[in-house]
Amino acid sequence: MIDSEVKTRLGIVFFGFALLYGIIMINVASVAIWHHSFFVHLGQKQYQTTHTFKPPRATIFDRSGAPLAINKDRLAAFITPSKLEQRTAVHKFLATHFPQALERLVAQHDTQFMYITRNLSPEQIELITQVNLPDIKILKEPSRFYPLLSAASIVGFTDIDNNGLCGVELYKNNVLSGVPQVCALEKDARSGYFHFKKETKISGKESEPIALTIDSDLQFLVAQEVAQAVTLYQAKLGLAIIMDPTNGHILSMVTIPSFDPHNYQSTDPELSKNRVVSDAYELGSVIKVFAALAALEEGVVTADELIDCKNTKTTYIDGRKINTVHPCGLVPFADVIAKSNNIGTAIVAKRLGPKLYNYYIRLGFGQKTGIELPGEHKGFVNPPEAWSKQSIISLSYGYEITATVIQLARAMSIIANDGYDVIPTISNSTESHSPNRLFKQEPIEIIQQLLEQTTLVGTAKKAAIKGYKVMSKTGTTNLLVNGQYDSNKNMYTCSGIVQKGTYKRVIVCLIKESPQGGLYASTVAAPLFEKIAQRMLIHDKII
Amino acid sequence: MNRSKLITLFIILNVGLVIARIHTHNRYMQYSYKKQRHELTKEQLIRTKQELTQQFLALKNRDAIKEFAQNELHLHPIKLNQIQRLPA
Repeated sequence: MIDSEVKTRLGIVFFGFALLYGIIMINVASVAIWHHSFFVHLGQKQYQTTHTFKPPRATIFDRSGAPLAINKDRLAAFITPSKLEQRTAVHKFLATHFPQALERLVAQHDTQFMYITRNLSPEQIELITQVNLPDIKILKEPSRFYPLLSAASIVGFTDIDNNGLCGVELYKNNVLSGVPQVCALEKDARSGYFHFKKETKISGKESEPIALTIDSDLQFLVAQEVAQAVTLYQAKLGLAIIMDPTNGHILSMVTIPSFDPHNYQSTDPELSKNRVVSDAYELGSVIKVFAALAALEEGVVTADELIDCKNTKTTYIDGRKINTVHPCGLVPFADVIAKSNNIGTAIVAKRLGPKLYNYYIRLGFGQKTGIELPGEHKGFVNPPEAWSKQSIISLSYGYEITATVIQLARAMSIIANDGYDVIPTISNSTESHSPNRLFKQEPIEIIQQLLEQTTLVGTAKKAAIKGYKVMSKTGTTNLLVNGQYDSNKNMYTCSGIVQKGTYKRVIVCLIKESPQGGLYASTVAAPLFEKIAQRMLIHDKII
Repeated sequence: MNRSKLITLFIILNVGLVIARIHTHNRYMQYSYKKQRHELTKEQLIRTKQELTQQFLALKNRDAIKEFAQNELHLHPIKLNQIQRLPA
């Protein structure tokens, strides 16, 4: 009897253990076999993490190694809405000082992270420090600092996420920002700072610093001069560029009015444009030099050929009316250019016909220069198939052709560089291209003499500098307003070459729209040219 | 050498290898942590350098220097005709 009872009990106990063992084995199988991937993933989540390492944005330097854009930490305030300890206090603080953040908090009350505001001002930092709420935390974020404000239109700026928005910052964004590296890290249980293992998932690329051809000191000096001229003439715009014609290096490029890249949010986007490259204008008489070069290259005129300029301010060619400011009679072609006579220039241009268009294209008008800046305008040259009877006349003295200031500087550089092509650049790399000869030596030499003559006795007298060879040309143009040329709205340009020995620089300056009457390029742009040249020569120690 | 001595030697060798492996791993971890600590210090130093450079460049503000030179020191920009090259 006892034996059978013991056997029954033993059987029950054995069955119980067998059942438990079975349950455990089923669980083990569930974890290890059926839900294997789920638990592996769960385990990995606890000790593995993926981290993206963003390389610091690279510095932009000028030609001498002075920084033009460096990194700077700025502060941002944030909260974790789903884990607020003092919700009421936070609401009260935000309602008083950051009402927009409060609106967002009400809408996103269960999110893990919310910025109160980014790019904190010193006053906002003071406020947050004083209130001392543990829920409001401060985060350091990368941003940029620009030491040379006058280079703002060249260097550009970055947005709140440190991505380039304009200028070099935009054009070279990929080079400056690099490529982030993505790594899988095995976390340390004791400290959030360290990891056991690091495995690269996506290999990144370091950001690369950029050296520009801009000279910081010269940029500042030129900007000062242009700003003074803009103030003096109450002009709407002032532009200037200095270029080394031997290698195309842009040493200075100024747009006035400019903007503060540190407060770009409150800046009119129009001001952030680099108008030296982004705006094309009808440049007027400065273009005559290139019409003259084309005529000399083509052999349709010589410098001493007498041209009958009718000795009048207004005449008709092929029934088309032509006005000129400086009338003259029968004068050598050199004097036609020196005195900037529209009638004489149009007579010679007519001999060229449609070939004039080809020469303008050869000089780089109507096409982008390829400068390493965003938003370059390619300008326009009216093609022969679209010409009216007026076109050849207009094209000879700078109408029906629009060009940017950088295109004008390039064309002038071709003259300064003895007829060889020049490609403008702001990238201070050692790469050099073997230049193509675009024009013969003889017509180039004649044009250089002609430009020197224009500076000594012609319309650009005020651009002359004693002891230096200055070859320049001025141009005054009426601006087009609602399809009509407005004689009260003008633009004044002076472009030229300053030379002493082997030292050569091309300068172009432009002043647009002054309310003051009776102004000409010879009285507005030529003196500005001279002031810029003086500053440049002293800076470069060409004494 | 009898069989028991061989077994003892085998066990000691294995324990020794395990200890050596643990020691190597510990050293690896130690150096890894040290490296990471140095990287953190380097990052902080780079940030400090950045901040100081920014402050330095802000002090070198050309507009402020010009204003000081003109208003406080009564200096004026020079012109070419004020400069004379002395004979060698």
